[in-house]
Amino acid sequence: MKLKDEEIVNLLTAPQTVEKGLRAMMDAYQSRLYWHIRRLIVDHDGAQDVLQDTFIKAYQNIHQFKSDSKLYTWLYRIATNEALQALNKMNRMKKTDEDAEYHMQNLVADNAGQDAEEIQVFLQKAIQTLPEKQKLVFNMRYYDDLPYEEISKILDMSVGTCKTNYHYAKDKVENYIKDNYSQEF
Amino acid sequence: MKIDIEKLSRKTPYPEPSEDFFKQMQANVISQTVGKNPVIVKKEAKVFALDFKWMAAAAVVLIAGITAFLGFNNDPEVTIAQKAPIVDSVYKIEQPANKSSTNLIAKNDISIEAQNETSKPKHLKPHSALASSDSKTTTSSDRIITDRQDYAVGTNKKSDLDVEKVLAAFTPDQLKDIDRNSEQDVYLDLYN
Repeated sequence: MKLKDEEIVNLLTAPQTVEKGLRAMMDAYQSRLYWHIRRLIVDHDGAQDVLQDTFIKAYQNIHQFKSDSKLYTWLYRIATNEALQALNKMNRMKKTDEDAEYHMQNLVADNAGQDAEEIQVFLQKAIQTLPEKQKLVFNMRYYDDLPYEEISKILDMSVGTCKTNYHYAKDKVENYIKDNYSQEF
Repeated sequence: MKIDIEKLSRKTPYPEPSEDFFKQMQANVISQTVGKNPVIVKKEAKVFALDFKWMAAAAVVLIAGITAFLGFNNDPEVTIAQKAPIVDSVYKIEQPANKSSTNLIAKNDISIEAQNETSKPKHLKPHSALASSDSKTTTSSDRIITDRQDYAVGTNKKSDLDVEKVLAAFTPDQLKDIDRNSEQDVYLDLYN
């Protein structure tokens, strides 16, 4: 039985039910957050670390959560920030001089499953070519189907900016696939 | 070729994580958060309704215990021993517990007479020697005189004898001359 956000927060704030609340929160959002992080980080182990840090941060800062917003919006915000920090750290620690975009595309190819569709792999490679904000908006809108209002709250953007970013991102992705997919096949 | 990504299935090319992945992740999170600071839930202490019978029994036991405790420390012999003053052995000897004072005075007189008769340093002998000599005149040998008393009496007697010896060495004429030449002590006249 899935608990509502309000019940989860109540469990987390009561000292006697913290663990129960933490487990309820993880059960409710771990899968969605994992895939959100995974699409940004690409690497599974890196995504696992970021997901753990996300829940730990949420546990430590639950007193800062405002009940007027949704819990998953707050968790998405934490997960996004953690993922971006991890990406910056990865880029700084990168030993080779190769371009960050090229590195991420290679990482997509390495992490793709054997039964993955080629078009899906191209789509992910195309997303890695996007600027950071467009990438975030596109992922949350296209894969997670979040409404623009929620995306705007998560990314501290206006709804119009989110729509514009998504529109540009979609065009870029389609053009990338069109150019590269047709070349290979 | 026109590609519309809205028509594609929204799948990711990455394989699904293993079944234990999320369990392991949850365990890691719990161990790093709640596991570090386990919440201690205090159990409410049981409240006993204090019955009058139990209160009375407890009071009796308490009183009996206190009485027994004080009784152990209130031994009369120990108390008397503690209250007895610490005195010098000399005075203790002068106050024999089992003898009457009149009897003791009489015996002391006898012993002084005996000492006057002898006028020798015999009185400095230990008690056993005195007791053996006195046993001739007195049948009971429980008379006790300290060495200090013997010594005081002996020295007074000896000084008197010495003065008499010195005076005997002078002739009557010499004594008269000494008496003439000596100045009269003013302060001694006050007492004469």
